[in-house]
Amino acid sequence: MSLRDQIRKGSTEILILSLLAEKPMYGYQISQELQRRSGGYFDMKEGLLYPTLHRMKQEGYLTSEWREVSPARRRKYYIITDKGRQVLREQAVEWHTFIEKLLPLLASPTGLLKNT
Amino acid sequence: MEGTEQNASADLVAVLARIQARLELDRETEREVLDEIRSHLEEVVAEAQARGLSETAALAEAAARFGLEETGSELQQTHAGWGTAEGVLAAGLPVLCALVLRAGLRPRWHHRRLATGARAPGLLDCSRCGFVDPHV
Repeated sequence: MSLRDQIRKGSTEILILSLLAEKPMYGYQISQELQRRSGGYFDMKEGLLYPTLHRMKQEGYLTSEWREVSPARRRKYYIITDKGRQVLREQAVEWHTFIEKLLPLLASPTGLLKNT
Repeated sequence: MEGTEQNASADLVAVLARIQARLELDRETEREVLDEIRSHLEEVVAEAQARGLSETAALAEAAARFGLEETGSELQQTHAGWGTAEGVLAAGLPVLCALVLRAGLRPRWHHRRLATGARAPGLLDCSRCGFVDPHV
C-alpha cells in the first residue's frame, strides 16, 4: 500500500464525519464531495467508502435512512450522531496536533518544505 | 427499447452478483447492502449516460470506478464480525440452555435419588444442601 493510500485510509473516517457534520449525504454524494473538495487527492474506488460507512454506523457515529427521491429512485442517507460529532471534535484536535508537530520536524533538517 | 432496458437490468444484476459472490451475510443485511450498491451504480450509470455513453459502457465505467471485488471482500469483513457473533450465539445458545437446565434440575434429581434411597443407603440427608428425607 502506498503512503498516499495509507494516509487516505487513516483519514477517511474524519473526512466523512466532517462532511456529514454539514448535512446528511448518501454514499455517492460523499465520494463525489471528497473528490471535489480535495482536488482529486482523495480519489479512491467508490465502493470502498461503504465498508467505512457501515463500520462507522456499527460504532454509532452515524445512522442511516432510505429516502425516496423519485418514484423510481431512492437513496440511503447517512446522518451524523452526537457520538459522531464528539469523535469528529476529538479527531480534529488530534490531526491538528499531528500536523503541527510533523511540519517543523520535516522542515528543519532537510529543508524540504522551505520552498513550498 | 424495452429489450435494451431489460439488458441493462440484467447487466446490473450480473454486476451485483460479482459483489454478492464475496458476501456470506444474513439475508437481510445482504439485501440492504446490495440495495445500497445498486442505488449507487444507478446514479453513476445515469450520469455517464447523460454524458453520452451507452448503457453498457456506462455500467462498465460504473463497475470499474466502484471496485466490485475489493468492496465485496471489505464489506464481508465489516459485517462478518456481527455475523460471527450471531453465529457463536446461535451455536452456543442450546449449550447454554442445557447447562442452565441441568444446573436447575440437578438438586431435584439429587433429592429424588435420596428419597427413593435406591442409590446409596448412607445418603439419607444431604450434606450439600441440607435436605433431609422425611420418609426415612
